[in-house]
Amino acid sequence: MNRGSLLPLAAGLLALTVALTLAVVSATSLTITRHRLVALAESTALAAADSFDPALIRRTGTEATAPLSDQGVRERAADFLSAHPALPVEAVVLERADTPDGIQARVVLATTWRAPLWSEFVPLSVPLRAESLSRSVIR
Amino acid sequence: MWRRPCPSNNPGDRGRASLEFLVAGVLLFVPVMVGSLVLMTLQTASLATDAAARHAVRVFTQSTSLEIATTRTTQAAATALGQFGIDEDYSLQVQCVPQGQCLRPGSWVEVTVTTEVSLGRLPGLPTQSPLQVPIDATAAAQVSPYRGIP
Repeated sequence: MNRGSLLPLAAGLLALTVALTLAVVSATSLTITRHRLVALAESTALAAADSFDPALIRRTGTEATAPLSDQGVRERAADFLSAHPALPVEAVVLERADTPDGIQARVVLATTWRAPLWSEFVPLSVPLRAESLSRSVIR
Repeated sequence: MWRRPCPSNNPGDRGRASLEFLVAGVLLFVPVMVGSLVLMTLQTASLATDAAARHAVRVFTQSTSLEIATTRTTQAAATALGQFGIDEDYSLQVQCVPQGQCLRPGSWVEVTVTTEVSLGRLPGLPTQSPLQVPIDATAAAQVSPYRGIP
């Protein structure tokens, strides 16, 4: 017997399509959050690279280097994030702010992305981290 | 085509599969497809405004005169939006914190890019719709305290 109806098949395909659409929406939201976190880490590192003491600038040959300290970078990065008028990412954590070689400022930011639309039903979340290195060039 | 009797003698093979498929397809899949296309437009606008605001604010803080900064910011936003296919129906708003002290060392700049997305409009179809949703994105940056003079 070949009894049956096409409707359950269509309904199944429909459910699959809707699920796929929701997945694409979530992926876009994740991408946007990641872009924003990377941009925030970059601007924080850029500000932290300005934390040098102008009195300590050394001139070696044709190049001038501005020495940074771990504490200065950390304080400047924390100040930058707290003074930011419109943080683009919610609940951002300054995971690390230091200087690996005394010239560059390194900033690591972390946050947790939560899936939109179905966060009440499926608590889907992805931890995100962004690392940025920046240095000041004096000419 | 549907009136021709089924050649099979099996009584279970009777039915209107093609008719059922057409009805189910039109009733179920067309709204889903329209919805997906609208969602796609909204997401494109969301990505576009986000990128435009991010690049525009960065360009603004790198300039040294307000005139040059405004021109370059407009260009940067237009370029970023153009890459997502948005050439019109957008507005750019630049706000300085503290107010009126744009490009002062240590001050903040906020750029908001807003675009209008019409919901009933399908990509590729020249339909018009009164339903419009504003999509906006804001980015902020700080002017370097050691900002140089060109």
